[in-house]
Amino acid sequence: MVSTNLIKQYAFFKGFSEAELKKFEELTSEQSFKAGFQIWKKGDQSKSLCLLEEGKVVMVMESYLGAHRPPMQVTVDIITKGDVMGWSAVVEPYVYTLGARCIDDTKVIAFDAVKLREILNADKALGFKFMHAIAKVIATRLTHTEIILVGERGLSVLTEL
Amino acid sequence: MFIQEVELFQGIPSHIIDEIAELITQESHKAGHVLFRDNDFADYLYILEEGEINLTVPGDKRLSFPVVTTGSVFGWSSLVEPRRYTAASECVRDSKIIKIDADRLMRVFQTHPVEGLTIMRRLAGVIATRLLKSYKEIVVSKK
Repeated sequence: MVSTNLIKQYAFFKGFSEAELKKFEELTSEQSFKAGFQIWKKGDQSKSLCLLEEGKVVMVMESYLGAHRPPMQVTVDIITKGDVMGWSAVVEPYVYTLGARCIDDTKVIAFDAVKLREILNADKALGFKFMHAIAKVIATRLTHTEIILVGERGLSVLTEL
Repeated sequence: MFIQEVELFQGIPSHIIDEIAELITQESHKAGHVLFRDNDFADYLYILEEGEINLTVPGDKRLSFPVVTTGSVFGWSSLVEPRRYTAASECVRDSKIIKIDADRLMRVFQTHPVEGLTIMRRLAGVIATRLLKSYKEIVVSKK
């Protein structure tokens, strides 16, 4: 279990009251992964929403290269300290849309996906606030991705780790 | 077109739909009309009623998202901080749109959090769909 004092330091939880944060405390755990470890694959049932405490994670999408050739894993996003990852935990159909692989030793605060959804369903006002924050996370990632796609430096941004 | 037919608002009780309907403005625009520009303050959520809209992310390489399906929602930046449109929006053909005052819509959601949660979940799904399209563009660009 992770204390509310730690959780409230993350920008994602700005605007949440102490009482609201307390509701999340019981479904949190700290988890550590070695560099190179794949935390989840695309298509896995979503088990947790994570706040990145330390390290770096790349989000990867598989690219089909044709018959008899293994698919290529393409980095489409990079998650760094303070970021939220695994929003599929609260967005239907609750299945990860990308793979997540650590490129540095990584530590996360993980929120159990099933219990999280139960809390959001039980307290609709809190659920609304939380989903509003999730929409912001996804929108920010979209803006970042589109800037990469249209930018002069283009995809090189994703390879300069 | 009735607002409750829009996927975002399907299943929402009629008394709340009535509240949302009070926030709506229907407009018709000629091809070439710009509804909003990239980085404009995002004050309205838009729904396509008829016609075709193009969303364009400006930059060295142009990135476009056509809006062609009746009931499609765009301009969702109006409901998410920092409330700046992330793309420009232009009518490709003569088009009819519905626009909803985003400040007042958020107040309706806060007054009715059960429905607010339902709609915010769907909205997150709408944004996530566009994010996945952008990720696929990255994969295609790298091939």
